[in-house]
Amino acid sequence: MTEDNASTAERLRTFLAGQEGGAGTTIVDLHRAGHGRSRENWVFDLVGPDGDGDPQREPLILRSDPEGGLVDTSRAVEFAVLRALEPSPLPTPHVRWLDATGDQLGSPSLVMRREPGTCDYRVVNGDRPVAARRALAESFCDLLARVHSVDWRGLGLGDVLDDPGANAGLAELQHWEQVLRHDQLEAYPELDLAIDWLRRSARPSRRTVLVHADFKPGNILLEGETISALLDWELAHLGDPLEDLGWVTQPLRAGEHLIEGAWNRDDLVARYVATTGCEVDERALQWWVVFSTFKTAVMQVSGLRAFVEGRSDEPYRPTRRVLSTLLAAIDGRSW
Amino acid sequence: MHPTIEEQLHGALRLLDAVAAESDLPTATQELLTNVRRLLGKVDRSWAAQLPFHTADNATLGELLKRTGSLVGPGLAAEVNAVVRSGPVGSPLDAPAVATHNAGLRTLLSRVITGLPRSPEADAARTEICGYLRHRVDVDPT
Repeated sequence: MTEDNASTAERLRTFLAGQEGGAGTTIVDLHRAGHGRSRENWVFDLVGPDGDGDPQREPLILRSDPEGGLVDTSRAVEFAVLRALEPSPLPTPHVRWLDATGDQLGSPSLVMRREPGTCDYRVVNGDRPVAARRALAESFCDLLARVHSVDWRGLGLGDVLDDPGANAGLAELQHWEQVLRHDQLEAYPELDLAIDWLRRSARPSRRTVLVHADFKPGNILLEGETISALLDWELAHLGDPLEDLGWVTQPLRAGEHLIEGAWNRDDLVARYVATTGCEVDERALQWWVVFSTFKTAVMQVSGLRAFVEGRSDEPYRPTRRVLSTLLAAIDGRSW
Repeated sequence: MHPTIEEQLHGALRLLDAVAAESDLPTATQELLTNVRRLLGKVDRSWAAQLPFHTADNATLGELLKRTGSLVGPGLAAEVNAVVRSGPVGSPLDAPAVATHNAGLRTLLSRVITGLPRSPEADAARTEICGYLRHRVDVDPT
């Protein structure tokens, strides 16, 4: 066991000993699960005797804030959102424990059940036959529609998340501009021009739904052809459903969501409209596409700062591809 | 003359490849080596082009700022004129100084963008700025 593993194991053991259902349990097979772009993930099994004395083994995952990530979000809010969603029909992971302050686990962390299935962010353009890939892409679109149909008021999510109402677009723009101002190491006139366009062109939201805000195959677990879980709810908030639709239809994400010649952007939007029964305002959707590209650039700015300050080993920077896509999206439009 | 900067960078990349070829490296170490390789490769591709790029961009951006700064107000226009006139501190071959001047001009451009009013002239300036930025992103070697 490495020093890192031993330290995490000891902290986890101490933490679990004080939690309901955690006392007397044993941590097995603890190891780091890659390097999440925004979270540090450790997987392990928790073994403990049940009432009859037979050992129970529960697969779990510890999600902790790293020193430097792409996004700065609250584990307490993520925990509350996931707990509120447990009675819903959405395939969300079951959360177990929370260390909101990080006093016990070193940084703000949550422990949740490790759901079955595998994740492949390129699955829609992977090795399956095109019909199977299209079917998967359709099921992902349907899952997004299900997220937006969740009764967030009935589930109590209104107590956890703010409802921005019709100003959802401007509220998100304000949030990500604040992130930019906090993290930028130098001026980015490319992003300031995008902000200028976004601020002038924002349209009111027609309805408020639960927005996942990082919907992608890379956050979906599959068992065969069946979706077993939708992960990474750390950015979830209440807002305009077109935000998620803009995120999945932005050109930068085409390789993850679309299939050339078999499942294009119009197919995705048409299926979403048919599934939800809600019309999509194309101009409003375009606003969210531009916003999504802007948000991606801001995440890269945050990643750059984390790298320069030595908090991250990933040499992020606002890339030519992202900045070029962003400027192309606003060029030629009315100001 | 030798080793040149390119030779040193290529040598560093070759040594990294030798380390990366070892089969029993932990995944985390492999990821770190990949990141080091990306950084060195970026420096290798861009270092020689950086000074001419910033020099040319300073000239283009200075002219753009003079045209658009006056739309925001006399205060910013005067500041633009002063900064453009002063140029980089030191020798025109001082790459860090030229880059610092470029960063200063870009800060002014951000202020121009933020301060532009709503008017047909300002919208024309936005269009011109957008065209300039698209070109800059395309040719920026850094």
